[in-house]
Amino acid sequence: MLGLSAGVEVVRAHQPSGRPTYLRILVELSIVTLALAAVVAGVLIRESGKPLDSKDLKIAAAELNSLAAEGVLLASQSPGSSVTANYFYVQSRSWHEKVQGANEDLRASPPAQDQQPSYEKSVTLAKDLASTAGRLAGSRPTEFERASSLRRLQTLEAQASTLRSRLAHDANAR
Amino acid sequence: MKFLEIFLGILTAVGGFVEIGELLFSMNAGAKFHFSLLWVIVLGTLGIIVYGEMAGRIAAVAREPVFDVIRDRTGPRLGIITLVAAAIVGIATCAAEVGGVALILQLLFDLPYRLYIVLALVFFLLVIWLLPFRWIERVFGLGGLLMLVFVATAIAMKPDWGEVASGLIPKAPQLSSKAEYMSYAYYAVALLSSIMLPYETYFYASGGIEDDWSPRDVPLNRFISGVGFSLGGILSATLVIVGALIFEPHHIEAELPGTAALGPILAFGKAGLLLCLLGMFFAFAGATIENCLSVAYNITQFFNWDWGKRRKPGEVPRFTGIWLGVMVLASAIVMTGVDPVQVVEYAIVFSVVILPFSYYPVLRTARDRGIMGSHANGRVANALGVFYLVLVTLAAAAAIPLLIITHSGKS
Repeated sequence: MLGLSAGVEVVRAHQPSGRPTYLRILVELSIVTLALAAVVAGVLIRESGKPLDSKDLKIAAAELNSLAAEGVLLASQSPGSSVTANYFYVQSRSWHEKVQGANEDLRASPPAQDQQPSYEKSVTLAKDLASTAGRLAGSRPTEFERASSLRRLQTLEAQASTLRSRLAHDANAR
Repeated sequence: MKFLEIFLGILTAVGGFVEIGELLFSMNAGAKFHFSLLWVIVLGTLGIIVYGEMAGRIAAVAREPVFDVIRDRTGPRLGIITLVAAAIVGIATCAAEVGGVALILQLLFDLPYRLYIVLALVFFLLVIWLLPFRWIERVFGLGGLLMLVFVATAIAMKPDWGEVASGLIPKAPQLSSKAEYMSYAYYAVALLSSIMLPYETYFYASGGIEDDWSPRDVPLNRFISGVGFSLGGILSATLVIVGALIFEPHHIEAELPGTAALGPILAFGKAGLLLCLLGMFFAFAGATIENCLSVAYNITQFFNWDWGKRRKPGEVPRFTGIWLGVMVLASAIVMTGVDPVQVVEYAIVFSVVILPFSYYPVLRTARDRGIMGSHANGRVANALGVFYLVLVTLAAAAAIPLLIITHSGKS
């Protein structure tokens, strides 16, 4: 027991350094952090101006596939019955925002020269998906509207899946 | 009475195990790589048990919380770098959890997201100010147990248990490209980090001191950390299984807590949805409070200021001021409209970088017979401690390059 308290005293003897030491370390740390942030910002700015290559399009197609499939699962639910009405409408709106985000991101970046056909297919798919998502999330849809959105989403999911597989194959082949 | 305390301790450890980042990372790991990353859950759970137990034992024997140990053992320079990094990650995670709570409230009662952020802020300030430490742990830990609906979902989906068991054994999966292997490595590191999040160790040790642990509580600490974290690990594993069974066939990557709820919905309909949303509410709310208090614990412990949730707010003004500030700052961050899921994703990946700096001093102290006496690490604890220290150091070195190369695991 005596040994234990002596040990604790040894540790306690290492008191923190004075305030000026910490201040100096914090200033040094801030400078290093700012320098690192500047490097990261530089890399991000350079990356954002780069045309979309096969790898970027593969990622975009995978995202569209994921969003279309999520839309199918969501549209398969019956608000008030299998899920609460609040869940259905709020989740549909959040999903719609994600789809719109993916659509805008895709349109904001031009493709590399050899990727024009794949890019155009991706843009068309994103546009169709955004418009269907808008119909499902825009207002409280009737059963008929939900069923028709579901059918459209199933078609879009199949298209997205094909596009994703093809672009993944192309990107892996490079 | 002691039995009840142990039982409640275990339940709160389970209920408080999962937060928004771990929920989505685990489900997406299953969606992308089926059961092949389950072994990481086992590895990470054993790691958090090893270091949680050590930190709890130091708190019980030497009454030294983690940041006391970090300051004394690593010196002011490395100590303050760890403190600043832990504070940044803690505030970011807290912000993401506040955003997660607001998203869940919106799914339950359809009102504007930003209104729920404000309501959540008021709720958290009142809860932390008014509720005693033990009640905070129990209310949110026990409420978080509703997340067990994911365990029920996994069982209801009838997975091939032989295949699940084979996922528990570490082995390289058959993937089609180098990019997929990189993505697999990214998910392995992120999953490990999400299970071994440093705030869990800081909070656990500080909680031991708040609960007045003494050397007599060493066996209690061992039991609660061992059983509680193991059961929490099982919950995480079922999230991977649900992701593999529901999202993988459709190539869905869950980006919202509401998407994660689709699993319980498909298994149990509206009842599954409500249990899942309430479970997520308590789990995210518990993680918000733990992160917020952890930042206050870390800073006050490091500078030797008075601290403690048990003490009246006026008696520990710096501690009170820091947690109030963290809560307001975290809410302000998500008020800007930043995506809480993206914030937590970065926070989890960056937190693995802090782990070696947090664990090294804990290991050094826990093995020091001068401080711990007969409660110092034995050979097994030392060997496991060194193994995990090497592991998290490798993970820390790989985390950020993998984040950049794989576009956050997307390629």
